[in-house]
Amino acid sequence: MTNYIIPIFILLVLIIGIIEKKNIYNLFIEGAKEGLKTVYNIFPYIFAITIISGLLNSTKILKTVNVFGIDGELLPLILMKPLSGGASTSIVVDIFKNMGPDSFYGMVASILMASTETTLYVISIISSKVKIKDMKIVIICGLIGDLTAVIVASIISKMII
Amino acid sequence: MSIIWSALFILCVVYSCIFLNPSIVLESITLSSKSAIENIMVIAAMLIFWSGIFNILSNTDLLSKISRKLYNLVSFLFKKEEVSSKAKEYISLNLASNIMGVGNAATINSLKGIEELQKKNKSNSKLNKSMATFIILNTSSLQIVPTSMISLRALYNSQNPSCIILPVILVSIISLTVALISLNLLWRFYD
Repeated sequence: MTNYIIPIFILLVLIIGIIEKKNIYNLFIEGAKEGLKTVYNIFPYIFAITIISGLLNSTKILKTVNVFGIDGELLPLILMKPLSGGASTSIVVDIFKNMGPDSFYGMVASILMASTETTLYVISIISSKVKIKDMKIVIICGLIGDLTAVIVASIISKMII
Repeated sequence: MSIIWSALFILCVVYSCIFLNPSIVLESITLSSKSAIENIMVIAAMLIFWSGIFNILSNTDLLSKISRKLYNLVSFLFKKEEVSSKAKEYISLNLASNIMGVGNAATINSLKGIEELQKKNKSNSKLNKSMATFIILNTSSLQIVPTSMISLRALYNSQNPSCIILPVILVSIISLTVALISLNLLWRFYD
């Protein structure tokens, strides 16, 4: 059933565009250009993070860590997601490559990526906009939310697999 | 970020020199560089397509249509005296774009919304409760159809790429609820 959602979503966007008489092709090209710029902008960050995560993997330092039953395998993702969307996506690609998207780690990573935001990044942007430095309360509560997501995502993935 | 990055880098290099084989360092860096290039190709593949589609979406009237009905649903989270009608408009546009997954529109409206909220804030150095609530809504993922994650799963031959939709909605709701409850519990220590 859920397989229909993406095609229906795309269809919906195209149909609404046609009904409102928008130039769909030009809008798509414009958006794609923006996307290309984003790729260009995030690449150096992804590069820097991939090198570190590669080193952490080959030295197996994280394999020795186990917090709240959360494996070291997922630790780079859990630490990176609140900071950077691009870098965390790159970590997920590595997890998919090594273990497959339907493995336990693949499932947790997929669910986590889609159900949490780049909490600290969002807060830092908003903080600089309103020039309020004291953001402790939202940082703490935001991260509590993220931690909840990690725990619930692990439980659900264990139940599905 | 700079400190974390350098500390981890140094830790790994020292660790491999002492406990493992020093040749691991260069080997690993070369391999990761290659994998960074591969990964950006994969990320580019889905990012460019979806940003094209979402650009169509954000240029239609759908977002503003959804947003009109949306504020009433979440109005119980905000204090009436702290939210101007303009702020209301931005908050609902922000929520609508977050729910549909239009990242750019969401960011723009979150910044405009927080600025409007700040106008009614009595303090220059502390958030008021409506601002904090609005920020928490933005640090939680509200997107209903996680398009890019589903595409990525499909790319790596998942048997059922979209099976994550229900779990994602469930996890989002639970984590957002927990974050909002903890905001309410911890608020008196901040205020």
